[in-house]
Amino acid sequence: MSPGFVGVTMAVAGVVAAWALVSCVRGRRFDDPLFYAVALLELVLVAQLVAGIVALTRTSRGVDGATFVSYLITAVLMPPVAVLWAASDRSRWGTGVVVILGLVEIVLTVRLSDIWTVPHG
Amino acid sequence: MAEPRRTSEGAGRILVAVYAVFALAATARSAVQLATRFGQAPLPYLLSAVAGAIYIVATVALSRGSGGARRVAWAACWIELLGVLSVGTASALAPGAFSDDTVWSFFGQGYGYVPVVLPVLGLGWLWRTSAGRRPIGSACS
Repeated sequence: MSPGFVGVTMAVAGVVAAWALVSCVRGRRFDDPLFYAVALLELVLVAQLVAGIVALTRTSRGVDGATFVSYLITAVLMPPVAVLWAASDRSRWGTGVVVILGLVEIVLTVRLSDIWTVPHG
Repeated sequence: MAEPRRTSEGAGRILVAVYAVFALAATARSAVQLATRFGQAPLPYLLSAVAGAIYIVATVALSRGSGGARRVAWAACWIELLGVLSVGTASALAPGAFSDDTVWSFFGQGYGYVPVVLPVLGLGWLWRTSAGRRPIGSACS
């Protein structure tokens, strides 16, 4: 799992969170441009899932594989659920849900990086 | 007297989203711990499982947010607050007492102290949306 990939995921999640925060403060609803940004994040997360599993099969270091893959899958499943929950609200607070999504994806990616780095006991 | 508002609307959207994240985090963590190394530290792992269950109940109750669900949400948030305060205090006074950390250890330090803030926000939101109170941001009349 290259540090570069984790950096891309965190950057895209950070942009989504910041964009959603600005929209939320401005009182804007969850709109199409923000939806496309979340879709881009989802693509990056799917790519991360594939890259993560490939990296796991190739590494000889002891990585807690079950936890690692469960984090990868959780990260992929989160945006669709968040979009459903966000889109069913017609106020700024739907956009606020996307802020939470971006922040949680950043935390998940940091944890993912930790699980990859720290040897499994 | 106005009717109580649904707790899942407005800012409650965000609250339910954060509760859902903690329901998942605490439940998944304790499930892995109970499945792989229950014998090492049964008490903290069971506490994590209890915390996860309370978060699930609170998430569902707050997302339904009317009638009986409000009472369930009240109870869940109060239990959660008492849980995080008692486990937090116990872990701070006797760090060695728990052989592994839980969601609520040190008032949720491992989770950015969100676990100690969340029940307060939950209770505040339930009070805020209760009958007879004006919605946030509505004009005074």
